[in-house]
Amino acid sequence: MIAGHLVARPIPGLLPVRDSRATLRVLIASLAPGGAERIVVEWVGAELARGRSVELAVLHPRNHTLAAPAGLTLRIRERESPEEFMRTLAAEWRDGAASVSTHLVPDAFLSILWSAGVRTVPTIHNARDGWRNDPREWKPENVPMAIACADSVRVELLAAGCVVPVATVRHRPRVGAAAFDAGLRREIRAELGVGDSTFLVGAVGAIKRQKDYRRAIEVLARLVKRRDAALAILGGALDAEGLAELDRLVARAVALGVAARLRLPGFVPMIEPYLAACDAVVNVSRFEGLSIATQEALAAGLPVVAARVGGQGEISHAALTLLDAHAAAEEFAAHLATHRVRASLVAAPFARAPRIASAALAHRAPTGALIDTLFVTANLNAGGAQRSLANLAAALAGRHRMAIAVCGETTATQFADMLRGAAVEAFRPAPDADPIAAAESILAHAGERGARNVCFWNADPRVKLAVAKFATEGLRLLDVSPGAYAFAEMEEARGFAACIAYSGAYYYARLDALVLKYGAAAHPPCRRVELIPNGVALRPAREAAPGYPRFLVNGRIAPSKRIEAIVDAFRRVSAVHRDAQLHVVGAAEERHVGYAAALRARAAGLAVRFRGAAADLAPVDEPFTAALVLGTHQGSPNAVLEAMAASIPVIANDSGGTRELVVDGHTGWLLAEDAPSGALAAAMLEAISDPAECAERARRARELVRKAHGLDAMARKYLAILDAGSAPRHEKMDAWTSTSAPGAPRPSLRAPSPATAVP
Amino acid sequence: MDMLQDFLVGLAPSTLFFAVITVLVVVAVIRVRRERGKQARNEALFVSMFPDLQPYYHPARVFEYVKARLAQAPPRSGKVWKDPPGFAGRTADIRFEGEREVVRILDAAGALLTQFIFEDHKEGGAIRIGKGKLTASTRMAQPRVRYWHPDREFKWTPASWIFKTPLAERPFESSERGSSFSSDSSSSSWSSRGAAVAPFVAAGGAFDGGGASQAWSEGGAVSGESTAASTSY
Repeated sequence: MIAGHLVARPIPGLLPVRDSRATLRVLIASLAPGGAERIVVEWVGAELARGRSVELAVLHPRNHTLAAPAGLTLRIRERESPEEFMRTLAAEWRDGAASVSTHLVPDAFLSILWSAGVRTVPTIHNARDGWRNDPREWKPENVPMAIACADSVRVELLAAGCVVPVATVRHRPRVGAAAFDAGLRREIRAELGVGDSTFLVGAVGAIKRQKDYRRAIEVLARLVKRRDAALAILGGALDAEGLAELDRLVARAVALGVAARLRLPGFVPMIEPYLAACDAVVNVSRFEGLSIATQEALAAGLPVVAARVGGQGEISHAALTLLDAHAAAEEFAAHLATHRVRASLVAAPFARAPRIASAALAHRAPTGALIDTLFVTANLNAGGAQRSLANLAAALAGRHRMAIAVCGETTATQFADMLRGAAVEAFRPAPDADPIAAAESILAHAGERGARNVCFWNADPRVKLAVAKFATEGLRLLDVSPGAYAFAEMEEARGFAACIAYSGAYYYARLDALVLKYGAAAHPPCRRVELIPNGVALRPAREAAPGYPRFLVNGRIAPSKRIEAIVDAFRRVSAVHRDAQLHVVGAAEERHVGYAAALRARAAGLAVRFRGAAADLAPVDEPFTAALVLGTHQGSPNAVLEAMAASIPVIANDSGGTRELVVDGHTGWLLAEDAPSGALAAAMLEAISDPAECAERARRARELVRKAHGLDAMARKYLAILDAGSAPRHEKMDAWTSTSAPGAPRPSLRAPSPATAVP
Repeated sequence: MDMLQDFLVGLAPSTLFFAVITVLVVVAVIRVRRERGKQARNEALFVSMFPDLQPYYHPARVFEYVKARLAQAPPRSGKVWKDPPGFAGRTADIRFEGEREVVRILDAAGALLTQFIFEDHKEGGAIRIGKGKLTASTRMAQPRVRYWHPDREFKWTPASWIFKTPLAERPFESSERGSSFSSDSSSSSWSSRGAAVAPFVAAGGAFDGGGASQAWSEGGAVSGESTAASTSY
């Protein structure tokens, strides 16, 4: 057990939720079984599962359809003409703030929405040969953004003269447990009349010329010369053209003598059991966007032999064999023949982000009270990053229009109160910390408020990635980074980045400025890099030392602060100075409660006072022999600066930007980064033994803060960056002198050169 | 054109006669082959869409059996019928189990090949096999057989098939002219237009529309998806 005052728990309702995401409105040509339709249904289903309001309009009714997920508002055209249906939609949707997502709907129908002022974000699901739209005709005022299902399609769109921003969203299909069910495998194979030893090849997709099933039949004919095999085409004919293609493929099967080995179950109610039944999948399409069929087969653990067309090359999976688009049937057969009849069914799923397309709908026209900058942070917990943000916001209040989006829960009230006192707006962009919801809301909020800048300040890297991917060019993105820790976090988010067809490299290339808090030796390339150390307010100068050894640890109780080493060091000090005290001011978040309890046990019998979190900086106004600051991945540590500003000598380890503040023997004691407790104890004993030296180092440290780490100096530097590109509105501010380093070329969603464009 | 005219005029009448005959024969052969090809295509459609009826229940065979069975009803004590129509070379072991007329088709060694239930029907007779039912209309001018199954149906005459299966958006007819959507509307099992019907999936696969995503924890750990699938954001 641990005392309640030492645990920092989320405070419900501390900040208002201002979720700028609108009802998700989607228009699709039909719900006929197909990859595009499946993407839409999975996407809106995932949003519905999170409580999102969804309206789905279907232009053409069909007999065989995907099931629309429960809970959405579904409108399917009935007796009215398609034009009348579109006009009705336009009238109902014209007042919506967000764009409408459209799928496989021709421009002629979209123009009805446009003429009513409804903006659309079309998703292009196919390679150029399968387009139903002319992207050259899209105007940014009608189409603020378009989505391509694969990079290859995006390149085609740009090459075709599309002038609106295009983002790539690669959908990874969800594959359920039935795909790995051995019982279902037996059942389906029996239903198909396929024996246990027969190698069953699946071909998935509607029967149409694009799929080139005649070629699949030729592959079958070659394959049966090598082994006992059968082919099941899992898909049907939607129209007369499809029936004609069906005739042709069956005639081909007859001509090649493999009709008895062909199975045509058609549109099956669930693909998973059929995937379980198959031993491999072949995809011989003439063109593809990004094949859902290929991906779901791979996710189901099936080997896939496919033609390298369209976005197929963007599917990275060990079980995928890509052959030349014009490879002979024999070559496909040869590769299929290398696989065995499956004895076990093992999943090989993709990581997925089915809701990321929502962020593409975040474009907004300015409507609310305008701001210059929207800061984005993870929380307002009692931490250094949060303190520096609160300090900056309070310093800029009245000089810069801003708001702060706080993505996650907050466990302390002090910074929220501080911001409220400074009349700085802070809010939660979404009800929870989900990065995709937060990103969409942040983009929408920035649009509604006419923000020029979005400035990330200790934000979840996934939020940063999602915002950067869909931010339009007019929105400046800045990242204030504590250094290596943030870069490592971004690296760790590479799985998420891959899910949304993005990367850390794209992110840093997209940034307008990367702000470092200390002169980090290494950082990602960015076209503009600025150095702005933290600033703090000076406390009154103090000469008096405490009457007995008294040490301060001021900050979160967390393993990264190495407080156990401090306790061990204090034990050594206590052995010499029995009247010494150690004051630990701070609380542990719930995930670190165990650590805090262990610390208390470790400190048993010692004069260690765990005081809990302080609501303000009052503890640094108390007399202390020295402040002890150990940490890992430090940026420009506020705990050090605040102690220095209050004339408290500092003993710290050499992490991140600490060495720029604590110069050993001059402004404090700087220990090795991994300093053991013995070294720390030696420094503490030295501080106790020489009060005069202690006072002198404290004086020099305070002077350093006054000269180089003042709040106003920090505020002016940030203001210069935030106001860059706009007319100067702060005449009293000194001109900012850039220390920018050249960085990567600026990426663009509308790049003239598709080959170099960022997806 | 003039050259062709000169050439034809220059031909002897007998040569011209043989040439015409040859062309007619070639055309006839091509036509027969094409017809056979189309017939084979229709048969292939039947085989590929109805694997559960293979290899014993081709509608032509079913019709033969039903017609012959109706001509000579077996006694209640049962009957062993050698070489019955529709099952040439086999034996039909007919037994009554309660009111049901159970027919077991045996090979020459007496091994069971398949079995079904025969029923009288106002149009002729019917065969129940598994979940399906084949009904042969023996009182029409030409043979007719229809098949009903919860998932798929067909109607057959010697000249054409009408299939109603998940292979096509609507019922389609397959004849010597090729496949086309059928005007047949006698069945009522299709869902009404405009309704979101039971999920059918292909061209990308099945799914239940379930939510795939979960919230991230504040700490940033990736939550696993609830199914056997993947990490989901």
